[in-house]
Amino acid sequence: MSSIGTKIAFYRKSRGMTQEDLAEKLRVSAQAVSKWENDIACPDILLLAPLSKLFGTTTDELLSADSVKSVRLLPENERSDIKGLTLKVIVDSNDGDKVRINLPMELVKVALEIGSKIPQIANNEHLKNIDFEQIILMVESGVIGKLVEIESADGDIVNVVVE
Amino acid sequence: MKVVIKSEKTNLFIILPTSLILNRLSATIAIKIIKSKQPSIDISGYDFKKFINSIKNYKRQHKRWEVVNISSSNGEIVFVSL
Repeated sequence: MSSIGTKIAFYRKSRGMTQEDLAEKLRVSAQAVSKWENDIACPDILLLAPLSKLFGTTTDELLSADSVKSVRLLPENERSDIKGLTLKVIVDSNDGDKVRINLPMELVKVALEIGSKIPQIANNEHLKNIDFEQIILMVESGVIGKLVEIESADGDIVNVVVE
Repeated sequence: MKVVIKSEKTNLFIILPTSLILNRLSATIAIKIIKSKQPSIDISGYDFKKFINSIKNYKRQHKRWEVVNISSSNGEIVFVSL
């Protein structure tokens, strides 16, 4: 079981937004967003459509009691071209550092093609064990969502999301 | 394109037309510089053109796209939007 508040919090965080960011986009107060997320209040019915649009989901999904699936396999008819997808890297360190990188998948694909020709990148110790082609292939096959979720013992959080 | 860099020593705020940075001339200059500094790197003009075109296409669809937003605990900020 998952409440609408939990889902709003999940989608907001997965997009690297703060409560203030979401509040600004919906023209409500940050306190209102906080109340939604803590299940103290519910968003106005008129806000459900903008909310779902903002989160790239449906009102049905927001209102259903099913838990949010962090990784989804899209049915063939719903698969969009890779050009429309975004790779998001979200890092929240324990020290308070915040990193948000939003890259179009199309650009990532081209950059990887170029990167493979650069020895400094292609032979990089940290990168050579990652099969980027497989990741691209996975995305092209319709797998989207939170592909990487790391929470270290120090409290550092790293998420890689494709949406 | 908007670039904001704020740190103890640097306070940079630049707004530039993207076309000024992403064009054939800048691509040619960039390739020449890369090749002169690192001859082992084999990037062709075609690769670079493809890269620039993908950024331009994306910018058309998503104006003011926030590419990078980094804020460190000591107040340093790096922000790049298209």
